Amino acid sequence: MNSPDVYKPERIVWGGLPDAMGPWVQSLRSDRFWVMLLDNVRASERVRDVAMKAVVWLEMKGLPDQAQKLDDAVQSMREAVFACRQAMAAHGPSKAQDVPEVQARRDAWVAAVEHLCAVVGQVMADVPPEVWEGIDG
Amino acid sequence: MDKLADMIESALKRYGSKNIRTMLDSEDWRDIQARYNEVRTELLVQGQVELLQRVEAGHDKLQDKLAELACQDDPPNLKDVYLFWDMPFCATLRAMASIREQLKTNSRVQASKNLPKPKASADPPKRSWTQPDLDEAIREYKAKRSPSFQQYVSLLDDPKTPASKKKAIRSQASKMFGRNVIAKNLGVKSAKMVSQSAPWVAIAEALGLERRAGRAGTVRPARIGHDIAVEKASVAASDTDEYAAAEAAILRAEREETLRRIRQLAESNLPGAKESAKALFDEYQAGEKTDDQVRQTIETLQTPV
Repeated sequence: MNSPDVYKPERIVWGGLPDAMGPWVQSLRSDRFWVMLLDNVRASERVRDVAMKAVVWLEMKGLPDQAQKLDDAVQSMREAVFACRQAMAAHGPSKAQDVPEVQARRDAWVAAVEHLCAVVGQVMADVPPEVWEGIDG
Repeated sequence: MDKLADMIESALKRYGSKNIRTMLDSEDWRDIQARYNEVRTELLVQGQVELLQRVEAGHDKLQDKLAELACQDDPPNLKDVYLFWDMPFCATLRAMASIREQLKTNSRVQASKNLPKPKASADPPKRSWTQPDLDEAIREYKAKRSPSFQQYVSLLDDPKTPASKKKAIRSQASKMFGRNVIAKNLGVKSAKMVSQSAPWVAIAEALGLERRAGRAGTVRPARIGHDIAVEKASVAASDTDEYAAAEAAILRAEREETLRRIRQLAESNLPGAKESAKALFDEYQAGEKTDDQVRQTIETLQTPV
């Protein structure tokens, strides 16, 4: 079975999020990044929506600490996306990739996605499997 | 919940950063607040305290940022402000909407199956009153409906309220504070006694209600000539969007008040308060109970046996 693709507007389930995020990190690291800003911003929204569903699910199940951990990682990722987007807009898309500040923002974005991926894996491992029953409908 | 997120995003888009103050004063924003209070009530009666806190914190953060922008002469584009670009509050609401059914089934509160029958469901039998007793009863009647009364008065006193809207407000107010309505609610044999009651006369003056057959609502004091003329003109006007908007505003105020009382009940220390609040909220949302029935049931629950 293929991994879910964060670039496609298809539904990503919570259980499939780590598989979807791996290829995304690779894509963020590649040169394609500089011509795929909008796609990557949309991808970050899709990933955020899946993770937020897990956040409210954990709150509903009375696990606020796990929810907060995940929420913080999601917010960090989105802040990194915003900062990179702003920096790219300030320098113009054609020149942005040569600007060290923008490159640093891109690296921060990649790091935030990797961190989120790690937190997702950690939360999945720490929370008993029965808690997740029903989350993906 | 997703509807609330849509409403917020759509309002921000429509008003933009330059018109935040207008947006915060608009009917659109009042609708948003009403919907927000509905979501809060739903989470409260389900016992979802953590989610309720998350929603309240998200709302407050958004509201604070909007207030901050409203004070700026040259506010930045909304998409350049992280909070509005990311909209975490809306993301939370949408995430909650996506698990709404599970939220219901995971409710930590079981709805009470033994709600008391509201005592005041039928009008009391008519009886003779002494004028002082009736005056006191009318004061109490008004006190119980104080939020609605204040809402009507503030709308009527607001010079920005159009005359046609005032007409609609008076019409709505008369359904709650009209002479015959009060006479029926209190079981007064002679409605004339209500007309003679000083507290009712004060209510009628404050709301500009008719006090005698054939006299239109012209008893509000300090009305300037132009206002009266506009008012008279509006009497002849057909129903308009403004009329509908005024009616919607009043219905929203009623709904807000009912939800506030449900929340108050849920947060009280009465035995089984949360269970009763949940049952009332469910029945209210399903249209099985009216505003009055919900409020009367809450009053019954709060009345010491």
